[in-house]
Amino acid sequence: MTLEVRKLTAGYRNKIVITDVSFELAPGSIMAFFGHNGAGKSTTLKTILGALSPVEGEVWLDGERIDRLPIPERIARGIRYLPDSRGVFPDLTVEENLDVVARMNAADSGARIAVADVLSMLPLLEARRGSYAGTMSGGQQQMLAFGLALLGSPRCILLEEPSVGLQPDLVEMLFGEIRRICAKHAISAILVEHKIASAMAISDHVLIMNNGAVVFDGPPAKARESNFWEFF
Amino acid sequence: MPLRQLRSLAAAVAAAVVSALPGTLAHAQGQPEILIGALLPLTGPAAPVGLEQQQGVQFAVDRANAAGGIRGRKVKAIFEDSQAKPDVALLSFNRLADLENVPVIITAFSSVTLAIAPLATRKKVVLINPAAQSNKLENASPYLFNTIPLVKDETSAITNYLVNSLHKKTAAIVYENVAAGIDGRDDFKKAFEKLGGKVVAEEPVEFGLTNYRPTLLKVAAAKPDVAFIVITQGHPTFVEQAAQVPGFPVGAGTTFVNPLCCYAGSAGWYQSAIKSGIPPELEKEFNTRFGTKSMGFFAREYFNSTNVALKAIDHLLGKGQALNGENLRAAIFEVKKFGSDIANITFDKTNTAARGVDIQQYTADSRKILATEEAK
Amino acid sequence: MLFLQLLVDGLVSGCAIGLVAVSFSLYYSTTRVFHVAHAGIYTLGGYLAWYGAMQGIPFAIACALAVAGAAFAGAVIQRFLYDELERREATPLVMLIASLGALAVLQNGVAMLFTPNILQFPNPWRTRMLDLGIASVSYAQVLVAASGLAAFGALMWMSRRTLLGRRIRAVASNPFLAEITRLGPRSVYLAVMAIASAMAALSGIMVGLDQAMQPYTGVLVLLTATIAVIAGGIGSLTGAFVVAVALSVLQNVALILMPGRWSIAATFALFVVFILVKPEGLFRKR
Repeated sequence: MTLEVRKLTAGYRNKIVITDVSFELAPGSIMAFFGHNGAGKSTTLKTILGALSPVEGEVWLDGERIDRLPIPERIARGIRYLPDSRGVFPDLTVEENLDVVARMNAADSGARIAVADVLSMLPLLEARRGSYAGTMSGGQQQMLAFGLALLGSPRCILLEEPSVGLQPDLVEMLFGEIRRICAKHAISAILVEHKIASAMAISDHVLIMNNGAVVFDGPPAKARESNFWEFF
Repeated sequence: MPLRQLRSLAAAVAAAVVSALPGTLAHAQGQPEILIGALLPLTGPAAPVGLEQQQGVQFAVDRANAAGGIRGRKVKAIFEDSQAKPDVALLSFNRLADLENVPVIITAFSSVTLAIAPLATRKKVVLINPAAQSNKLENASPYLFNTIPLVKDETSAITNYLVNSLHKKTAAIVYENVAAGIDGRDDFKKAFEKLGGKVVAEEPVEFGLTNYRPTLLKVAAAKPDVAFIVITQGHPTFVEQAAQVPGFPVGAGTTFVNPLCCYAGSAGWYQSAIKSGIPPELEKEFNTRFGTKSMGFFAREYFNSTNVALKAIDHLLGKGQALNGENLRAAIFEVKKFGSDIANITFDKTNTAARGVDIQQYTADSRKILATEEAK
Repeated sequence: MLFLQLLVDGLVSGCAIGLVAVSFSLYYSTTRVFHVAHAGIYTLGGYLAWYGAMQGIPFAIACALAVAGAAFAGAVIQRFLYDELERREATPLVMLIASLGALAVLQNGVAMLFTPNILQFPNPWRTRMLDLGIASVSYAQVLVAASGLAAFGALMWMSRRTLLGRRIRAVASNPFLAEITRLGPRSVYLAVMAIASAMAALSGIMVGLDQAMQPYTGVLVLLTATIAVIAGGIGSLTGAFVVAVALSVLQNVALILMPGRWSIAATFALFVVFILVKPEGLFRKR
């Protein structure tokens, strides 16, 4: 398994938000992660990233326990996080964005994806190399944010609402790229998303949370048949 | 506890108790000491000046005691710290006046002296000011004696010389934009215009800044016959930058600008200075006592002013009167003339001494006295 | 020519203030800490170089040592004051108060070690004059201008062309992303503090060389510099430098039109009007 979350309980200062969350993610697979606002999706992602410390439970990545490591150590081991907004450095050009992240992550053993690879995978970025990221449209910025997450040796990308603010055609295109690149490089992904149909279309696996607990864990086909809609 | 230890402990306690008693009790057998107060900036930024002043006072007291005291009584100076701050000085003044009951206090700094002057009037304590020159000191208190002429007196001396002897007709004023500088500017302007001169520029420099160039350039552009300078700090930098400005006129000032002297850039400039002298053997004695290289302006003035107080006390005791501030004030006016090797100080009806003023001219490495305007 | 001489002097002083403004802006836009103690670093640099020069060390070496010393002092403040406070999630007000405290320590420390008197560098060549035809300047003024422009140019180059420069801009524009892409914001803050301190110290040294030094003058310089940072548009290094030079020229040249006691007030009044009309500053970033 790429990622294993075992009986995770976590939250903020004096408030536990998620309880006993467990799931597994196979290499190269994409997990759609649903639930209404406040269900605990973000808290789960932030605990995997390391921005929050778990109260109980464990997080394992490729057979190594990572839940006590600081954020940069987890990034070095292949965790990537795509925030729902501000996933780029607005005062840097596209090229500078990619360059600075690539060079600061170059030392990882077997860095597989370089700037050139990202540019060839995401040709839209190639066309805007010299543009300041802050001047680009939301879709282009989201594409660049995804590109930044790919640099180095990503093993598991946590995507938080990547479709926010994007036109529908751009959403399909971005999701298509995510599916293609993850499969090609055996990268797993967790996709927190409101656009349920688009997300299910590229997912191998669906996880639904309600009130901080997992209420459904299974393949998309089964999810469609289930009665999880009642939670929305 | 062994008896011997107990006994020595008792002795120590007794000694501590005795030494803690007020001086009058401890010295009950002999004549009581004469106490004089000195309120000086012994700490803080003005401390270098205050410590020199302290040496001057102590030197006078030591010499008086070495000569057998005043009519057989030893003299003791009690120093209190003012930090050159009026608020601190008020507390220190009360300690000297109420706890020590001194009849006279030697002060420093215009702001401090002005702050304690009303209290001195009320508590009838004589204040002697040897160095502060604010014009406001003239009428601050009937108990305040200024042993040095105030700014306006000195300014009028140098202005006379500039107009009558050097025939300067136009002047620019460069002044520090604080109380002392502004007063100096106004005093000079008044004196210069009274003698028929014309002030063609008045330019300030900010206290604490060391870039005088814009001001100097503007002064030079006004093409005055002389630049009258009232700054209290940054003198070497001022000279340096003035020398870099083509056409900057000859400079002049009062005691405030004393440190302008003796640079290539200020050669030929003029300055007034309160007339004072120092016999070489006295200066040598001072240097031996304090390990200094020379007896500076403050040490001299504070030494001399302490002697003024001691002479008046001597006069008072000679008449058999009680030693208090009220009698001492009268005694100063009775003695009237306080001559010494350092200066001739006269209190003629007013509380501010009339003294001669020297007009000096600088060379690149020294100063020479061109004229002396004697006290009127 | 009075006007030209005032203009040239204003440009020279502007380079020195510009350096303080640019370094303050660099640090503020990266860390969002209002680093008032920067004025103390400016002062410390001058006194360190002066001390070296008084020991007979050649000026260039004394200058380099002082710049390094100031950079180190800045790094110490960053590591043991700001970093610690941020770890404890201190509010901006607490950070400002801490910075004021550091400023007091630096200024009074300098006053205690080197006396509160006005001090001058012992190097005799500094007052020699150079005739430029339209105006004349001292050798020291040449160094003020040259060091200011060179350091500004070097900073701009560093910011655009080097990895560290890109990391700094990245951290400034998105600290959270910088953390999760392993750009190392903490070490960036430390580097920025060292660079900014070195630049402020360089300015303090050169101005001290040209004029003289006092422990408490740094605050006035920082005040003008801060105004330049705000008027130039927060985050814009070029804006901070250009406005600092413009302010300095204005203060100098205004003397032709009005008595000196009004020129500072007039300059700042103009600034107030400017802020009312164009609150985002001259060189606003996107």
